[in-house]
Amino acid sequence: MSEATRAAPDQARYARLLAAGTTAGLALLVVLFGLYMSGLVAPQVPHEALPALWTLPADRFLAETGIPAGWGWIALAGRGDVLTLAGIAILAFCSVPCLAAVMPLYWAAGQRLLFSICAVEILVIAFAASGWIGGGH
Amino acid sequence: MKRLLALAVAAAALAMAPEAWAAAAPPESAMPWWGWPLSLFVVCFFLGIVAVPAGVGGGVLFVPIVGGFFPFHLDFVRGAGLLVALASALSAGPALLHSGLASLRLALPLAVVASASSILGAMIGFALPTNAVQVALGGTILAIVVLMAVSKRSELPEVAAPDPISAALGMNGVFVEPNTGREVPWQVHRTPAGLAVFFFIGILAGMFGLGAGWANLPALNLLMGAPLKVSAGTSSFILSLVDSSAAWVYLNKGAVLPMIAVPSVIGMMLGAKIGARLLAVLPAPAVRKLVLALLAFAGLRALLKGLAIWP
Repeated sequence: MSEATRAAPDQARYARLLAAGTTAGLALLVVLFGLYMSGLVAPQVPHEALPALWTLPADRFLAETGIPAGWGWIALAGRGDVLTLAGIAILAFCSVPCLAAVMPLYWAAGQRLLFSICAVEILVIAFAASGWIGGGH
Repeated sequence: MKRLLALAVAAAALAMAPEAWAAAAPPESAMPWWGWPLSLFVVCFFLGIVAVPAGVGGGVLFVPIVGGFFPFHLDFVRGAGLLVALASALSAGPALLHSGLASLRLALPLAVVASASSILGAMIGFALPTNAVQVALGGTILAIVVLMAVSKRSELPEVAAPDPISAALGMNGVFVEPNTGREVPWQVHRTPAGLAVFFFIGILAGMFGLGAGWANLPALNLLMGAPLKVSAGTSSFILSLVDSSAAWVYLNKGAVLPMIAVPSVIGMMLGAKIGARLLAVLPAPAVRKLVLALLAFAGLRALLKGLAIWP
């Protein structure tokens, strides 16, 4: 493989971190879901009550079940169904460390535009995650 | 014989879906609670198998099919659809980046625009009445079917010169053609138009919870002139960023229900692994036609459901 086709340092670094984050997120998701399904960690919404509730819009589902919107779910993290959201949150977050890790490479190479784009992408994901939109902040 | 077996698998995959749809019933259905996640897992497993040879993202199959034939509210289906697309894109990302089939420099500027607009799309999706979203989803799916049926692809588009933005951002590279080992240098043009298109792609992705590979691929390949393989890889990688933003909105809105999302993600990912192994033996054009027909039916179902003609 020539120099030109070998994965560039930014791509290689991003890929390594992404692989670790995705593996961790998916593994945690499966484990937490197993705990939830098995009943080892009691859920906030009993399994058998779900068919009557998952036909409702999300806002009414939250109102009926007492699960808060936004980051309020952290307060119920001891519940199996809510705890499973932690695995999902890791998947939705795992691009952020990857972006942060390539920023120094772009800065060192004088590629200020790419550096700024990474910073903006992190801010966009952070804004979406903040709960400022979606309620519960 | 192998081809026949493979075709049988694909046909069974498609046949399984209607069986589960027949089971789809109002909430007072006699099916026990665990029957729903199990049905969802099975359907997603088979969708994952056919998605790979059909060249279709799992998310775009998931939302209209599950939204149309399972009893879940569309909010939860869109949330799960986003996670299906996100998990698939995240899993594929490292290998695509290592192989050079996804380009970080090509993806980042487009992803940042689409990520921001996906938040807007998600907000629009939650603000509109469910029926309006159903109708828009049905119309979008039918348009996707037409786009996928008629759009051409260009293996190695000719780009005479990069535009100033792509040149400044280094949106170029070299990839190795897997079959021949040939090194193929590439560059892109029409970046401003590409950014505008990705803005709208982000809105659709966020609004409907669809993976947007169906739109990313032609935008990168036909509009911006990236080689087909680089377009496919980069399209998938872009989804990992776009869907991350939108997924947070769905999480904050309470529209991610683990009982729906997790069996879907696991089923689709396992199915996709089988689909990738069957890629060599499955008759891809035939599977693609079957999947497009299925998608058209699901799109029509969403449209009629939204219009209360087929509730």
